Amino acid sequence: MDIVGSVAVQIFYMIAILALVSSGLAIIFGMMRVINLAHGEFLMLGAYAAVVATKAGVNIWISMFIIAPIFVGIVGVIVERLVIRFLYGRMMDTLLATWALSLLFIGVMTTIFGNATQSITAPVGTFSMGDYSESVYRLLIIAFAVVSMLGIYLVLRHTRLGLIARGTMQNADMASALGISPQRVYTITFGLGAALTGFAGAVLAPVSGLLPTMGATYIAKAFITVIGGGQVIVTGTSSAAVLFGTVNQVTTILTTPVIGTVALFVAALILLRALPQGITGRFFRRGL
Amino acid sequence: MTSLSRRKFIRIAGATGATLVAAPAIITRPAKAATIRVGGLHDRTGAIGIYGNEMADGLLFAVEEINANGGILGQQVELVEYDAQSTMQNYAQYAQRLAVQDKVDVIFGGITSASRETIRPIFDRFRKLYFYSTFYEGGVCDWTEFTNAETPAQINGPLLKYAMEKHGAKKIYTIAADYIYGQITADWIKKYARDFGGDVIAEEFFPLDIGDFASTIAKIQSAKPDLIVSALVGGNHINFYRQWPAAGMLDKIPLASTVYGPWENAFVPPEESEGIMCCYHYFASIDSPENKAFQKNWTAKFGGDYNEIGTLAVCTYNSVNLYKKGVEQAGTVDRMPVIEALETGISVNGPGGKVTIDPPTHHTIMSATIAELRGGKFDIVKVEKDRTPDDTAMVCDLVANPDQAKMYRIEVD
Amino acid sequence: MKLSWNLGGLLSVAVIGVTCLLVLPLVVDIFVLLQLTLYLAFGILALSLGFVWGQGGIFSFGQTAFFGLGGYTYAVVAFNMSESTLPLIAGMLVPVAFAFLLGYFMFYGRISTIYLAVMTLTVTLIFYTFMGHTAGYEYSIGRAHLGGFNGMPSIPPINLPGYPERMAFPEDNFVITGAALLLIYFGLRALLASRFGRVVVAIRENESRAEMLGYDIRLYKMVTFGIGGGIAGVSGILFANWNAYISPTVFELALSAQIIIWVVVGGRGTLIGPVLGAIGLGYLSIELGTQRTVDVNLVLGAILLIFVLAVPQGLLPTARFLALRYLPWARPPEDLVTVAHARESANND
Repeated sequence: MDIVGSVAVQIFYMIAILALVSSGLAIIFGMMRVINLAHGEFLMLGAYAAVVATKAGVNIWISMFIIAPIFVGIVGVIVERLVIRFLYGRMMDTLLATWALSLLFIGVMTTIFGNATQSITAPVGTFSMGDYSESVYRLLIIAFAVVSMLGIYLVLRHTRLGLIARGTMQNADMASALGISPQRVYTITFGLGAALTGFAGAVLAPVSGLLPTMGATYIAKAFITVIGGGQVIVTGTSSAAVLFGTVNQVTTILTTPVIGTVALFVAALILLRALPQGITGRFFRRGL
Repeated sequence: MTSLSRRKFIRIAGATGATLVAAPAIITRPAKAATIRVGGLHDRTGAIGIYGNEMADGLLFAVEEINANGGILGQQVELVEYDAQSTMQNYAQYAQRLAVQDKVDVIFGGITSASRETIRPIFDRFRKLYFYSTFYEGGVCDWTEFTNAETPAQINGPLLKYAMEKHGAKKIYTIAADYIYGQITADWIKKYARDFGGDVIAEEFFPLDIGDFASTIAKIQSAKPDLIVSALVGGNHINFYRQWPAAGMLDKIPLASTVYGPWENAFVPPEESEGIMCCYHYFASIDSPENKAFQKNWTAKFGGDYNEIGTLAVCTYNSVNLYKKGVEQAGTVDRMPVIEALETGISVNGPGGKVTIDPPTHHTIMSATIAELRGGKFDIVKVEKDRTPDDTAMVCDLVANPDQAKMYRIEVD
Repeated sequence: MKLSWNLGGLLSVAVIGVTCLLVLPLVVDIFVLLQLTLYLAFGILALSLGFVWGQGGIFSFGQTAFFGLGGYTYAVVAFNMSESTLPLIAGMLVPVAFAFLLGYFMFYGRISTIYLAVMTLTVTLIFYTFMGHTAGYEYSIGRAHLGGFNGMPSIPPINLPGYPERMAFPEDNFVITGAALLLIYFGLRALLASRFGRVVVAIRENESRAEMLGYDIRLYKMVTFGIGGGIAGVSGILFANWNAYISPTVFELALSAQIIIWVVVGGRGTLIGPVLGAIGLGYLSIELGTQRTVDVNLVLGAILLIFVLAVPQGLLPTARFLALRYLPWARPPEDLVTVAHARESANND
């Protein structure tokens, strides 16, 4: 039984990681059609924010849940105000601008912190299943992923903000005619996407090495997950994360990590070919 | 935006660009005849910057020290340095620039094997003396290159022997980066494991962009080895050293690493690295007068908050001093006489002890120092003197056959 | 009037290009030639995306797949031959064939823009992962050893067809690369002026309209993509030749993204723009690495950011726009309308 438990934890963990690192991107790309190549650097900023705050004496959970998201959210709002807002509707220019931002953030962080920074440890223990011992933090990451996906869903579905945001994305002119400022909605949405990404980065901080280029690891997989999911943000991203995470981890367990990585990519290719609008182009179309 | 402000923007952007591009031209002005020109080519920025920065600074430090002591043959040394930004095209371009435009007398640089294999042919083609100072998989056999860094035979043998004896380990589990370094190192680990009465029960290889080790840690737990040997490399693989202790494994199965050094250690909190065993030529904690003096001068130059340095900086530093001695013995900076002088088996006394050139392989004979992490510090437990590059010696004899410039893949056993 | 303006532009490109090819090797240092050769090879790569994306409207995030495939194919075949003619042909044909295959897979599945981008990127990353894994000797093709992350060094150089001992020197490589760039450029101009080219542009402008008019847009897109793949392959061959070296880093996300940046900076919708973007940004990042005062990424990021805000159309269209506006002698009256229209359509996508 313990081997089943261990395998299950690994698979759920992989799914959770994919879902976490993709959720902010799903909002920024899915709702605003901004290809944010600086997504990886938002993650990186979140991780740094959490580590710096924790080292300054702040409780680790407060840094993770409050400081990192707020910090990266503010960065997101500034970026939106100074750069992105001039580029709406010009998807390719946002791509260039966010690439520039990604270089800029890496440069700034390298200048301030150097190439290597000591990270933090999550103050949770381990648990055992027979022969296997595993960090409790892995289970927490799975929980965090579920919570953030649920959070997005609830905000979009049940709050006025979510309603306004969805409306504005669908028809900005109409929203504007109804007395809502699309500019403000865009700014807030971008900021929220960034904050979510900052949270994901902070969650990763205790399980990764902290370096300015760490975002590059996640960006390709995050894009593949978001696009694979299709238009519908929460259901799409979660189902793509489930699919790719399972394929990747099962193959890795059965064979080697190389084949696991390739299997994830091949699954993405087949998925996009079979469902040219992503998973939610065909299924769960009425979800969120 | 109005067209006026747009034009202004272009002008400002243009001016900033021009200044930045013009600035280096002033720094790297043409040399006066009476200087020795030394080229440096490392990644200071980008993913490899964690290794490259201390190497570039080791070079800078050596050059300044030599200049302060009167230079080489009475000439000052001028350093021309480029940052390859962890990009291979840049390596090739800067190598060409150093060789053809800057006309340097010698080049120190290259970090990953890929970067070395990019630039080595360029220095062959333009007949430039080249020093490589990063520990690697062994096997480079090139008359115009000198490798002053550890190969697997020099450091992995002592490490395995120590780790297996200390923990009574028979069953070994190897995890390694999925490229030549990792694969050859894994072969050597297998050989040494057998030599010392054990065996490798499993080997697993990871692409450099893998950053999650959950499934591996579970596999290791079910395989129940007595010892883990890691040859994981680079920023993403550092995550293993975070996830291994998080799973509560640190005090259950001992861990030895062929690549864990101060660079990785800078990322890992002290309680997560306790007991990791590793082996290099040099550690900053070596207790010798030479090292104390070196550390003092290094701190004076770079300040107290500089990250702990390791064998990469010191091997680069030693390389420059080996070159200096070669030039002094040859009485010229011309490439042929200097190579012949170096081939007489020149040695220097560096911060990590004596380093001697091994003429047939153009590698160096040096001590191997084994350390264990205690409270985040490299605690030195054993030193083996005069380790020779036996691996490369199996395939390479530049004394008998100097006309070679290739890299062999050494087949162990 | 419009024709003569275009003709004038074409002629001046031809004259300047050929003059540079003939004169530069005589007057400049070999080092400058080596640098230029690389920028020109990257220029061809940018041109391939400039064509596929700027003209054909196919947003490929994976031009480096064909670039690397071309380079690797050339290298593998060249190691097994004593002569470079066949390797050159193979280095062009394999990427074309692969591009057609991938194109068939994607266009006949009616994949839309951004999904296509992700698919091409994914293919590139598969190459990256696989090639990085090929360090063992079991990954050898004849005498060619793929070498994993360390790559393949000492690739045999191009030689004069039929004369294996007359190998290309750096000066020759410059001329070959420059000539290839010019040929491809004029080839593309001719193609765009042909009926096929006009249909390709029509599809970019309005896909459903073109389809209603009876054009098989899947076929046209596949051919466009295939041609682009071939051009990228040529650039890969020249890149592998430039330093006799190729490694899996050509398949990295960073290079894929960089090509797009070159095209955007140079000006999408033009053919010369992407080439200028490749040369300009390549030069900039190399020069920045020679200084130690500021972090390279920081400066490069800042410059690009200012650029995208200040010169949103890209270099070439902006230069053309400014020239037409402020240099009356350069302005044929009708053209302002064309340019204004071009700006508008560029803004619309």
